[in-house]
Amino acid sequence: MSETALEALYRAVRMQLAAETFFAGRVYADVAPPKTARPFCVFSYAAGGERNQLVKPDAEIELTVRCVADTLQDAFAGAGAISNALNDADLSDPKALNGGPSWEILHTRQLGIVHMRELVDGRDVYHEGHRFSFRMEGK
Amino acid sequence: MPALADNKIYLSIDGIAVQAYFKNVTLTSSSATVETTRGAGTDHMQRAPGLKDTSISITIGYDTANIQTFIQKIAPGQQVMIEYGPEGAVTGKPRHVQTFVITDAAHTVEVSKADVVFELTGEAADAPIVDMYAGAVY
Repeated sequence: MSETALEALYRAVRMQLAAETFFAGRVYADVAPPKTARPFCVFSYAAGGERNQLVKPDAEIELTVRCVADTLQDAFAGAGAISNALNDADLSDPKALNGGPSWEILHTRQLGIVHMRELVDGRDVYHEGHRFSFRMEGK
Repeated sequence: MPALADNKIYLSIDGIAVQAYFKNVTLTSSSATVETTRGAGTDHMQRAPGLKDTSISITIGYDTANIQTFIQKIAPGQQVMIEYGPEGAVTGKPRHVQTFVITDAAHTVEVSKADVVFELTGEAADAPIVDMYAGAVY
C-alpha cells in the first residue's frame, strides 16, 4: 500500500470540491493561505481511522468541510455546494470519489452541521458546512 | 506460548477460499447425553455421552468483485464441504474438514450503509472428515 487512508482521502476530497465552480478552485486542506479571497472551502480531519472490520486494511474517517464567507447567504450557498459534491458520493454513484492507487472510497455519509459566526477585525465571517463520514477499503 | 488473537484463518466452502471476506466464524461441536441413572438409592443423575453433532455459523462480507465466485456455494438446502483452520492453512496448525447442510443464508442491506453481509448457518451432514477437536492438523 503506497499511501495512508487519510492521504488518499484528502486528495480525493480536494479534487471533488475543486470541481465545484462556486469555490473557483479555492479549496484547502486544514488551513487556507493568508489573505485568501472569500468564499473559500477548507476541510480538516475530525475523527476515525482503521476500522478493523475486514482482513485487509479498511478505514472510516470523518472530515469537517466548511465554506468560509463574508455573508451568511454566501456561506449557505457554499455549504450547499459542499453537500452537492460529497453527500452520498458512493462507489456505485456517478460522482464517486477517486481513492487513488491504494484505496477505494466505498461510501460517504453527511453527518452534523457546521455553523459558526465570528468577528475578524470587526467584520463578520461566516462558516457553514457539514461533517462527513467516509468508508474506505484497501485495494 | 502466546494466546491466539488475530484473524489469519483459512476458510473454504466447497473448495472456494472465502477467508478474505469473512467477518466471523463459529464452529460448535456438541454432544447429546443419555441418562444412565441406575441402582437403588441413587440420588444423583448419571449420564453417558450420546450422539455428537456439529454446527457452523459464518458471516461473509458482500465483495462486489468476487460475489459470483461463492454465492452459489452458500445457497441453503445444499451439502457443502467446509474447511476451516483458525491459524490458517499452516503445517502443524489445527484443521477441520466436514460436510454441512446450509440451512440459512440471511442477507441484509440497510439505508444507513452498514456493511452488507451473508449470515450462514449449517448443520453437519456427517462426522468430520478431519476433526480439529481430535487434534487434526495441516
